[in-house]
Amino acid sequence: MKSSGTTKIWLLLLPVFLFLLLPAYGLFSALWSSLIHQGSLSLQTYQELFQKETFWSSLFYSLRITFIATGVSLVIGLLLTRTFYPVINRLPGKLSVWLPMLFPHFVWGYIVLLLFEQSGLFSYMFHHLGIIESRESFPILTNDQNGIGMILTYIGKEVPFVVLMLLPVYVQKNHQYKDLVRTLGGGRWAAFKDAEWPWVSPILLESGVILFAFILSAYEVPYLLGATFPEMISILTYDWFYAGDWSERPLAFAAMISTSILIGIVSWGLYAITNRKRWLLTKGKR
Amino acid sequence: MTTPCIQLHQVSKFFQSDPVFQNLDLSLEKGEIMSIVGPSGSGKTTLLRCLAGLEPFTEGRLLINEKDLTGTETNKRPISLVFQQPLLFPHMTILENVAYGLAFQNIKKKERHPKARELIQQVGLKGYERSYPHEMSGGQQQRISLARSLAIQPKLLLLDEPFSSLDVQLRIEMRTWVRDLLKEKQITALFITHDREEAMYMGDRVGIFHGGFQQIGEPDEVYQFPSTPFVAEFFGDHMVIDEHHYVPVQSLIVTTQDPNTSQYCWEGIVKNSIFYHGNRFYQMSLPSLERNVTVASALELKTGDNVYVTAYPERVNSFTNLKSKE
Amino acid sequence: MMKTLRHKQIQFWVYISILFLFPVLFLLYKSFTLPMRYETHLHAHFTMQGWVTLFSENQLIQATFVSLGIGAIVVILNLIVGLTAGYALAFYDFKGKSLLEALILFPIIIPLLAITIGVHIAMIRLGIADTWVGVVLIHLVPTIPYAVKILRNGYTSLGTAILEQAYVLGPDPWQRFLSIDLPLLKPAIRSTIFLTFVISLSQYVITAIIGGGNVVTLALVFFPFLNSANSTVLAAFSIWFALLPFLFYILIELLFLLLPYQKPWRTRS
Repeated sequence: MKSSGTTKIWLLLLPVFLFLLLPAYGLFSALWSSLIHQGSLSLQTYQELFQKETFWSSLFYSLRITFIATGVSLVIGLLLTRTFYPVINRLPGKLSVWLPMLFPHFVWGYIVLLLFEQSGLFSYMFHHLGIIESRESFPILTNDQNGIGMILTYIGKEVPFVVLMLLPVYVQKNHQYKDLVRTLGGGRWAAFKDAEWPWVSPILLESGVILFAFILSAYEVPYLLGATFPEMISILTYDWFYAGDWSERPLAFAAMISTSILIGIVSWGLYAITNRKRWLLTKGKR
Repeated sequence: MTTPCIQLHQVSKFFQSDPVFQNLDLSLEKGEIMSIVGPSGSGKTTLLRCLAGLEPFTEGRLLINEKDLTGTETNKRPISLVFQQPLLFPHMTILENVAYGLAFQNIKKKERHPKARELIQQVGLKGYERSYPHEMSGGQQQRISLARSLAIQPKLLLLDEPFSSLDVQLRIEMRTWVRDLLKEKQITALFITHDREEAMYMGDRVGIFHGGFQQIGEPDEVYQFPSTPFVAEFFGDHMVIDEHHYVPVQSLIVTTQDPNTSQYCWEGIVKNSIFYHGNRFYQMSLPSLERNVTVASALELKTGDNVYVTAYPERVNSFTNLKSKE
Repeated sequence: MMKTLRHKQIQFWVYISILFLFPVLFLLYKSFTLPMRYETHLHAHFTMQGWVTLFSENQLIQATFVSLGIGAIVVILNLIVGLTAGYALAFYDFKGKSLLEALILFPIIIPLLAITIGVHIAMIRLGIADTWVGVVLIHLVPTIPYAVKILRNGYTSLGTAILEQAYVLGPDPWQRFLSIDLPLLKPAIRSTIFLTFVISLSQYVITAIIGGGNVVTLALVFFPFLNSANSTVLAAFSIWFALLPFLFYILIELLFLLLPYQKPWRTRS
């Protein structure tokens, strides 16, 4: 680590600062637009937004889908990585995990459609195996009200992401810690809690926050696999943004700002919980 | 008299406001090898990094052949540095590694490889030109690293404990070999180490470094006539008697009876014994001096025995820096 | 030990096949067979029709080039920002470093849709809405945080020592970058290029909003296809999305060969 050459540092950081102007401007401009009502600053738009039943149902629906998809992806990703990291770290393993990363989310969504819709592969196979009589007796798993199609898509796409985030942690981790805990008489749980979790949890948290934020506000997958009602919050926003006479644009901005704030609160909350837990762990050791 | 090739004038280095070293003066003749020896954390590596330009000096000037290089960028200095680790470029062959620096020196492409080949031969690794670093042993890698640094024909070669990652046997071989090579090529070099034997062997002169030079001189001179208590203890085999006086350890005499000489006699307790080069040495503590000392003796002593340690008055010396002031 | 490893390998491939390989292979199969009729019996009709139809669409060929072009510019900008910021973050300590790290992560936490609709008006005023410039800029938002992260880690694991060693031997910063940084950071640069390109290729809604229908990338062609084309053509189209990063990748590898000290025929173990 060096600490000299201030001009050089700023020169090196100049490109990233220039870049940061763009999202920063976007966010503030959206915030500004949501706070302007008939030419003056007010919370009128938010009052209107919070009175809308569609907004609340969309928000809670989005949250439910997001929590499930994020949680399941994290769990599967973690289990896969910690069980198989020696295999994944070799070339064929890495390539197979990278494979789904190659496909855009909406293409993976289309694959889910091909497999799970009522006229899809599974329905077809069940029919020919004589398990179901007609395509109508196959459960509705895509464009459904429970968002199962969306969740399946996200799991397929995000599990590799989680694995690739966690892989370096497991590959570089000093596995003697685990042996140490075991020789000291700790069980499997103790080995996990003391010799694994402290290293894994920060990355898991970071992945979780990224996934949560992404899934909550992504547009493509709900567009493809969502139900007409309830809608994900991004679809609702897009509709408001492009609604005929632009009169609903402030609502679109307010909805997105609310979502951003929600993501901020959830990320901060998750961060605070894990930090507190870690703090308790270190206290307990003394 | 010719002006020295390398000159340092009153250089200092501060990290924030903490001095690492202050107001150093140093000059080297062309072809001279100087060892700098000091305990770890004494600032000797920082001095080397400043010389290479990787860190700026806070104050002072560096001149090479009377040209001021204090503000010159690292890559423009005719100075080359061999690090503790070989740090060969893993994506290049041995030949490419050695030829690397030549690419930036207005040397025609055709001449680079023959030059590098010659150096590879000189470091005794002919035939390995097309190998990759990971195929070489640690000692071979360090030799390549040296050849790479020599290739740019530096006016000053800096070596930062280059043998410290090698095992003992190899270190001894390497030091002989490196010194011969540097002498043959008339390279001016600064050699850093924490091993005083290595320092004495490698350097025409040695500098004892501890937040600045404690003493600079020829190895024998520094060994026999330390100028400060620090040098006496760190570099020489001396026992420091007080701020002004020391006595060479080999002239100490151990007896079990009180020899009844008044001046230089101390009571001691035997702590343990070791054999070294066929002689028996006892490590003992001298409570009145608050020191431990290791002395050779033919006596049969047990741990815990009380003994007397005596020095002949004529063997007791004053530190040289005090003499010159007197 | 060996037995459990072997066992684990088998287990791993079973899971991976179910989760990832099977869906992709099925997509590939679909692109070469006629759509299944629910009532008919199980047998596949091989056809090239999907691929032929796909490549006879002028729109698709054009969109492919537009996507490649936009992706390439986005990749280059990502490398510039990622390498400079990554270097600074890996090797220097400065005030507000952890704040900056958080700020760099923030574009992937804030909804992309919020940022996009936020900059939309400004881009119209600047005259870059409905142009590829605007689209490139908006594609930077979901990509640069990853680029900085990956390249910063790359520089951190490279370490300062080898860079200092190189510097002592005389190259100027640009020569050093080409001869040492770039070859040694190749794995990180490769991941950055790949990920950046794939993310850029996947953006539908932000491209639609900022591009305003004037900048037609592959994603913008895919969505209308969903309603009009049959599953064979769509499957071929889907595969095309994954093939494009590969083509791009090969292109980049060829470019890498132009760098000094590259010997594809002698691999390091």
